[in-house]
Amino acid sequence: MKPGNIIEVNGLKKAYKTSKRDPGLINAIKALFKRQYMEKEALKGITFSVKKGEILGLIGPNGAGKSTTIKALSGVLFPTSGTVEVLGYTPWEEREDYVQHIGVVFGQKPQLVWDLPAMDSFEMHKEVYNIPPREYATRLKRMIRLLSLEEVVKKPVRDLSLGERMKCKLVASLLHNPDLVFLDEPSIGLDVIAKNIMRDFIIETNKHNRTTFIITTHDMQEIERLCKRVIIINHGGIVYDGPLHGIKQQFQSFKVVDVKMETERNTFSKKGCTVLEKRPYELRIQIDTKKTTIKEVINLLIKRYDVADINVSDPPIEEIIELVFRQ
Amino acid sequence: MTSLKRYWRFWMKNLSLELQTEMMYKANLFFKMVSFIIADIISPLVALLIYTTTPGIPGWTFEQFILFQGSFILIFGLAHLFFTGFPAKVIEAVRDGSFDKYLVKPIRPLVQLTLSSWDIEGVAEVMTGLALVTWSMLKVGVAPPSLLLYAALIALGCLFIYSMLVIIASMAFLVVKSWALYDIMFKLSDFGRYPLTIYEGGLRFFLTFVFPIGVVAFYPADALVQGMLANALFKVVLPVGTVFCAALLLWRQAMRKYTSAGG
Amino acid sequence: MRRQQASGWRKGLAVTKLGFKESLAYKFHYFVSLFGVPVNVLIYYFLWKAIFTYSGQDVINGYTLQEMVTYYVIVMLVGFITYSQVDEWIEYEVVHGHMVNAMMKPLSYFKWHLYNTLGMNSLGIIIQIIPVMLVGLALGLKAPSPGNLPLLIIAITIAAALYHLLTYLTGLAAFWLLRIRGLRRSRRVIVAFLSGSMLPLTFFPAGMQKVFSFLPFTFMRFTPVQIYMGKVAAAEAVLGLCIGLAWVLALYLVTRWVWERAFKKFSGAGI
Repeated sequence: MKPGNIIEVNGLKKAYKTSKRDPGLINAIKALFKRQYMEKEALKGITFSVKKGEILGLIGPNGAGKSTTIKALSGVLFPTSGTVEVLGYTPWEEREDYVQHIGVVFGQKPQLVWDLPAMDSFEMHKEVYNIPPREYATRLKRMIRLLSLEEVVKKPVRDLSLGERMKCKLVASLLHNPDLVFLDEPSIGLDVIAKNIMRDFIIETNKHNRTTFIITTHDMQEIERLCKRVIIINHGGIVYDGPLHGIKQQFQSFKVVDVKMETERNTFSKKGCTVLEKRPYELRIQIDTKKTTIKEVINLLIKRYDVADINVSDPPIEEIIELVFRQ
Repeated sequence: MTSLKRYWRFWMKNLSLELQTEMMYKANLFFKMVSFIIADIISPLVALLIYTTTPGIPGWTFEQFILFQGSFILIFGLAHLFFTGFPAKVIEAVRDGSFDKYLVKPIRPLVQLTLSSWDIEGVAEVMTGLALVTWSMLKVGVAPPSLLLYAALIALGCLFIYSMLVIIASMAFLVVKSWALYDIMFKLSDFGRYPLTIYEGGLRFFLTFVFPIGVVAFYPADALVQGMLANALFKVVLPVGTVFCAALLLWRQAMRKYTSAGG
Repeated sequence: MRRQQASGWRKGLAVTKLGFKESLAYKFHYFVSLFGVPVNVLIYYFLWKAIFTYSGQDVINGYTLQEMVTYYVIVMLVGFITYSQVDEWIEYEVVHGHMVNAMMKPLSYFKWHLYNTLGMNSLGIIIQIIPVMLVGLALGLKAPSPGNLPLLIIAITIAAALYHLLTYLTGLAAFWLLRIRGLRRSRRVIVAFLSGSMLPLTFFPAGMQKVFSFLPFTFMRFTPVQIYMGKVAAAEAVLGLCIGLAWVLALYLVTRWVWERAFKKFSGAGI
């Protein structure tokens, strides 16, 4: 392993064999005798590495191979071929030793004892991970303070809000001070305030303990704020690996122009331009910079219309990512 | 050794969590305990009615039969207290796709599941079973040394039930609606509520060799009555050990399938 | 007035249909529960066969071995027909905070659960009745004499009403206790024992039998089975059914009384 690296993935491939059948009782009975199998390649041989202390965003549409990657990296799944080395372990081969060093948060699945205060789940964690009492106490105290959970951890988990529950899950995943933490959709269903607190906490933990985070999410804002680097997975392959702003340079061939006019006009047509929105005195136009230039469009606008204000901007990151997914 | 100590502490921690959870619904806990005591007292009551109106079950005096029923209740009570709940956890986790949570913790999944399946209502059954067994032993008259062998046979009975549950839990990864097997197993175990000797022909063979629930309580009680404990122990150890190993192998196979298919 | 009545029935029918459709989701459950039928019948068959052989008698307490088996099969059949798990539904609604939904229904809470249970049971009866009869026939089950049929139908209706009312009452306890798994189980076991599901009531001491004939449990299982088997004289049966009917009325009144308090509890605490 290269110095400084915590994860090295090489040619990771995973093919599922799934039995398929058409719905209905008759087909169910048929399937009993003759099963039809379908081979599905979830990962087509991906290669990447992660440095210690990175916060990596893993994005991609549903079914693209994100969760298969996370599962292979956390030792829950063994792949068809390829190698994975994390912290010097092959995760699925030495799983029980390996998971001692990682933390996992499943955004949509319960991980805490439902009827009891989160504090009891933390105590359980202490036994499961064999955490020395003093370390446990200081770490827990610090995290509770950072997330202002003083009262929250005393209430039964079932009475907590979604955000409070997620914060507690995050605390649980960090109690044994893992080197690597997987956050699977951590912000799903949370409000802006809770998201911000979680984000600050993750950044703080990353700085304080040099904890490496791998985050999967559909929330681009979150990625933008947390991750310096993202990996985009689609159709089982990596389509992009690099800094977030690099996506814009690589994929973005669009600009958005907002025009305000003195007189009422609501049509505009030019090669390479599409009108996204129109109001009596306003137009929003998308420009494909491969087909035309911004200069040409602006010139045309000023010549033809009674322009009061003009504003050129990049499309929001969501739209670019969507474009990448569609390719 | 250190891992044994850790398992022990994990087990005890789970016990305290179970107690705390049950304490949140005290009335329910009370009624649950009472209901189990009532349910378990009723079968000796039925036996009493049978023995007062008929000559009874061939080969068993009333006291002996109570010893038998007490043994059955004791074995299932212990299983209930310690681990009966765990296949249901597996089935549920597989269904809602959250089984991974057991895999990302540094204790073997089967150990985790087994040690976190306390069910405190089993205490009521254990107490009822013990009361029945003690009463009948005093009536029948039992030499203290045979108590140890009897205890060993009870433990083997529990191990057999545990093996069955491991098999059911493994099936959760292999077939859908595996809870049906759980229901069926508990239904079949009702056969064990009466001595094996009443059954005839194929059914007796089935309950002895195919699904040996018939011998779970039969051997301890029968051997105690006949004074043939060592003999019974000798007969039972190997089959139970084999079933247990087979169950563990099946579980391993199921884990392998799960980690290669990814749920 | 009349129109309102009719629409009430129509609503009831709609809820029954809904219950039936809901139960389709559990059809696999019913198939699995069928598995228990041969198990129970076999256990009792072999148990009593051993006892009869051992005793050397052909008749014990007025039953031959054949009749004994018939008894258990019919008990099971009556059990399937009169089945109700309304207590489990009520507990679920209370614990999971679904009471508000239940209150929105255009029928009273009692009626809604009654019709729903009717609907849910229909499938169970359809699936279970034939296999139970087959097992029974294989063991020499006798058909009831046609003359007893009207009485039998009345007896089973009373049994179903009593069983449902008692189960409903158990369920209402959830308003105070929240989780009632233990209470539900207690109710089930006590009913099974005192209604004669485990042993014909004639096996109990004479004094207790006297007491039993005035308790509601008798009419939940024992009375219908006795009528089926032609073991009671018509006059005696009619008298028994009158007591059963009185119990239906009494339990219904208790139910209303408890419901009023449960409703107050609900609207006060907002469960």
